[in-house]
Amino acid sequence: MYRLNEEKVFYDIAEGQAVVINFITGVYYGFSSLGSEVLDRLVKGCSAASVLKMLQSCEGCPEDMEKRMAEYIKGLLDAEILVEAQGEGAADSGALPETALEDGFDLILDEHAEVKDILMADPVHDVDVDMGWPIMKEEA
Amino acid sequence: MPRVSVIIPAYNAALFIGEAIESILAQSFQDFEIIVVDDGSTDGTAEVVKKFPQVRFIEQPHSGIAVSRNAGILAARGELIAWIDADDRWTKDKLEKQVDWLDQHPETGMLLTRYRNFTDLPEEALSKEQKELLGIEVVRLMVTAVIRKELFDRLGLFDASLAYSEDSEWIRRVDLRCIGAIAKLGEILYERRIHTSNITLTHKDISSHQAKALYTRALLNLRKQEKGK
Repeated sequence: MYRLNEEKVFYDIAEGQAVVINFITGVYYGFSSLGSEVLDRLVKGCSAASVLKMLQSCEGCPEDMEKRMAEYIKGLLDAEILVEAQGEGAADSGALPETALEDGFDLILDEHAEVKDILMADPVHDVDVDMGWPIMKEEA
Repeated sequence: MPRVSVIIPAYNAALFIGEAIESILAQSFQDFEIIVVDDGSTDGTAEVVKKFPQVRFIEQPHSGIAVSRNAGILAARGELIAWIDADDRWTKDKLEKQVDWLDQHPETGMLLTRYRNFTDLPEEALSKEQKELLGIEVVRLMVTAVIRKELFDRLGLFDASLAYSEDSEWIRRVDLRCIGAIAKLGEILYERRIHTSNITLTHKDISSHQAKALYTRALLNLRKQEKGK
């Protein structure tokens, strides 16, 4: 099973769309609808096998879903969004909401670095007292 | 059309809202409308507000501060949005100085000001927390701002799922998508009243951890907004 890498990332999901920010690197990640749903279930402690089984029970599920899941989870581990955790993981009991397939069966993790200077600034303390704007870290 | 829509979200604000409205009506800049959004008050707030025929009054069932702010924005006719909490006051030249500055700086989308805290309570009646609050000036207090309405079109309305910090979350959307769009006047043009039930007494200044969570929510809301376009 897996857990969120809370030492490095913040995770949020609303209306079926997930976002993860790595505050160490300033990179943030967006996900396809199904990618968000799968990540949410893994973060909540469902085992990867039970999530895969649930997906394979859906009409129209591609035959290579197991391979797609493996690649997706590898991407989540490589990006340090998830880390491996001890335990078997819970069975995935929830049915897939319709919105989870808005983008089809693609499990997409996309990476964005365009606002990393803002995200790497300390959002509480690195603030310009006169202008109220986060002070950017100096370029190395 | 008025140039500025001044929005006052109000919940059980009968005691102070009249003073807030009077401070707006006394402005040296007069091209504005006032919109009070009464969030289900039960203390006679409506009766106080209705004594001011210039005020547009919107009533809604108690839904929270973010929903109230959004109702005000959706009703606003002005190109600029200004805020005042129902228990606070403006200095007489607040709007004039902020509108003038925005006219000269089209690159600025959100103009904050400095503010001072004040209280009507005698010192011996103040709690430790209230005394601390009197000495604190938050760097970016959204309620001091005048904001171009087009920013809400671009960045979305306040997140109604947040019970508080909805303003901090929205400011982070500005940080992330409109770099350079926030400015702040060095003058004190806003007066924040410290009394027995300030929301900031129950929801204190955010921690670094909470701030990061707000950035995460801000990105989420931006992606939803941009996906919807």
